[in-house]
Amino acid sequence: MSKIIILIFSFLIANANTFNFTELRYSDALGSSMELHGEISFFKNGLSINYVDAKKTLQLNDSILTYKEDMQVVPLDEERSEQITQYLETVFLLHSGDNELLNSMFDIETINEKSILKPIGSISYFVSSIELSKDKNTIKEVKLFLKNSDEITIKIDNEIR
Amino acid sequence: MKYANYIILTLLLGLAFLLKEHINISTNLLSLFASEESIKKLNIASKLGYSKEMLIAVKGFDNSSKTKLLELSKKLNKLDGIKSVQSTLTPSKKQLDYYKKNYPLLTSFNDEIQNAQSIREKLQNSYNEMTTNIFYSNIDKNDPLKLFNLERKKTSLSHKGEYLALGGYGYLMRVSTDVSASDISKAKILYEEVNSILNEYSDVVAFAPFFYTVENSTKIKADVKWIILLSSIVLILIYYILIKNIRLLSHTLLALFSSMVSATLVSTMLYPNFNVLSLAFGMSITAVSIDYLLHYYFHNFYQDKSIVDKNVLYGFLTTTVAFGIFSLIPIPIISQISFFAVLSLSFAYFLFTFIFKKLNISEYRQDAVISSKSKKLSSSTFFIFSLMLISFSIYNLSLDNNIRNLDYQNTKLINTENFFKSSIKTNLKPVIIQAKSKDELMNNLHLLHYELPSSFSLASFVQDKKSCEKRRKLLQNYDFSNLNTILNIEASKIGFRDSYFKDAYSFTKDIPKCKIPNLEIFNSYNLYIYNDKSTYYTMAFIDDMSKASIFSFVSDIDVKKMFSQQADKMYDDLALYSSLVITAVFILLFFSVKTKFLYALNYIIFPSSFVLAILSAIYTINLMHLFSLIILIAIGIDYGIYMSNTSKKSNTILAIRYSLLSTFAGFGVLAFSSIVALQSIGIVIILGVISIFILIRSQK
Repeated sequence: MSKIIILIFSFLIANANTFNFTELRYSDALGSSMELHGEISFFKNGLSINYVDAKKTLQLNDSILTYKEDMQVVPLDEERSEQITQYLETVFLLHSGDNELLNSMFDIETINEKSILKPIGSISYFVSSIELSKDKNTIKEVKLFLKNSDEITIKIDNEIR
Repeated sequence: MKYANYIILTLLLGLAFLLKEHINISTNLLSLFASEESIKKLNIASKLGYSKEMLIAVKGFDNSSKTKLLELSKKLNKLDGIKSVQSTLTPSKKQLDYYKKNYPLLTSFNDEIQNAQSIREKLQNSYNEMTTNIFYSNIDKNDPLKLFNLERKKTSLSHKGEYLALGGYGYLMRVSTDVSASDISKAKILYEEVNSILNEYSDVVAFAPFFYTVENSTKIKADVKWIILLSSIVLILIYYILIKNIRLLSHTLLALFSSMVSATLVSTMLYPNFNVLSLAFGMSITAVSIDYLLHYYFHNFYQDKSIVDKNVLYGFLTTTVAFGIFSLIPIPIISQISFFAVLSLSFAYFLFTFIFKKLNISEYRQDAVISSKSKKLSSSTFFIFSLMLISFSIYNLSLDNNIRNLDYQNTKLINTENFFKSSIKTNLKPVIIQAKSKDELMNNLHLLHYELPSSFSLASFVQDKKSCEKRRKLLQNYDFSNLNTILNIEASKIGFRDSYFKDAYSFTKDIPKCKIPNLEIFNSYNLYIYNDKSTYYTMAFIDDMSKASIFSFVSDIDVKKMFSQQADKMYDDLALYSSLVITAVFILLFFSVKTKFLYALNYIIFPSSFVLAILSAIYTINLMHLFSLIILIAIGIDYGIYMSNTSKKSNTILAIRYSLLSTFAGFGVLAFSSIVALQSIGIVIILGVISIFILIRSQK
């Protein structure tokens, strides 16, 4: 599911290089939420996500994924690595604003400032829908509704640079 | 009688028009070279989806490549001949439903007895993961202790994320079609539809075996048309220059055409798949019969009172006996061509001998006696020289057992096929598995899977009955009810929401029975089942044929191996039948020429050894080279008889020279064909004609 979170980031970052973000995860199993803060940066052939407090960083460069804890590289198991790589690549799609491909992967319905994205392909096995809220064409909030009734909300705080 | 040839041809054409529905002409060249057993095996394999798969690669892994991939997938899915399109590793909805329904049976199960402490530890670990890990993690409310584990199926296909990849080239799409390589009409429709879609996109490469059928058949048809046209033009020109008698020329052309039509009619109706290649070659052989007419004409047979000319009769009989023996050979192309030749030569002999006699053909007047001043060599010198050439040939001889080399060499498509093969890099080869029932088939697949764990088949998805029943029993005896009670108590203590796990492990209550599911859901993996009256078949993909060959239910379908074995058998058959033909020809020759046996024999042995020596020095010798050599022998024997028994040598030489020129025109043009089989024949005949010219000029 970590890949889903990364997918959501992409909606927050159009036309910007680095953002602060707040992630709110609601767990139906726990009946409670958890809050995380971080930064996401884009560069020519990749991106990185930095959870500053936890000192954990994910970086994708030329399709090669690296995960670091306290600046030390930590190997990820194959399945998790594949999932993260796949979804970080989706981030590029969203960052590039490629509507053609977005429309191939989602049914998109827009009402006023809100867009509902319903996944068409394999993501639909895990994600029910994604809700995007905009303010003057800038995405402010993304809600992810998972099949297991968990919800993940990403709020954009500010653009750093 | 002067319109006899016109009437005969009109009748034959009328008959052809009436029977056109029954005339079957095949363009599938490979069917000519395969044994019945191989064809049967390949037919079964074809019903199991073998060689019906189309591969499409989209260059690159960027977003635009992915867009192309998804768009193409959507468009291709709408086409009639396409059954499924696979561009990801993600299972289909039907497959997921199958996994869901049979989950407790298909997964591995940790049957250790769980107590409150072990349950607490596992739940606590999950809780910690969910509340502290930066990666999102959740807990499965149905199996929170992860007792069941569905293993990821190992695939030999490379992939980029969830999308299939063709090595480092780009994304890959595997398209399952219902078009086999032998179904030309369906193949043509799908080929055109697919190409009209692919042409909209750049950097997209596609390959399917049926592409060969469409592209090669178009090319072969065009090639054969061109060869027939070229041959006809050259022959008409030569006949006119040689005979200089328009009336005789027109009757000759009518007679040749009638012979071809009659042989075509009979052959295409008797053989269920008479091949276009046999037809083209057979028509060219018909042109050889001009030598009967030339011999008759230059010896003024049509002015004689004799009913038959002994020399021509011996020549005709020898040739038809040779072709008659070859028509029995179990090599389809040779038997078809030989059968056609027997029919067309017999018809031509009949017309030239009996009908032309009634046409009041004007007498041939000799302009000048041909005299040669060149130095002549004795028959024995030629014979010894021929033996030396044969020794040289045997020393250099190498035989080509790749029958596909005889087909039209579609270099572009061959390169595309090789590109996919080298990029996919799988070491798994397909084999056919058979059994008397579906249960036995699954059992066989599991036996194979046990011997070859890396094999891929339906056994990778469906359990065998024995293990399934064993698992059912284990699950039925496990106390999931007690587990659920402890689980819910411990979960609440740790901090999970009350009753969140109330339905945990309830999926083990109604365990499905051990039945073979609807196996069609695995068609997207290229796994099919086919059954005839008494046998069930499926395909398995294995990496070690030697280990699999211990099972009698496994049949290898390595096409290359199959055809090379067949080629070796063909060479053996050809050797056997050639010996029979040569024996028959020797006997007939002996009775025809008696004391001049060596002189006449040189007309067989010298052209054969001359051609063989040159071929073995330059080429790898193929089946068609050898078959053409036999034709050369059949032609040479006619000339040997004519030359040995001639009363007017100058006229005989003239007839043979003109006949050779026409043979050169009829067969020589085949050397320009892009189909290797035809080209090989052309080369042999051209060399053979040259060698006979040498003999006529230089043998004493």
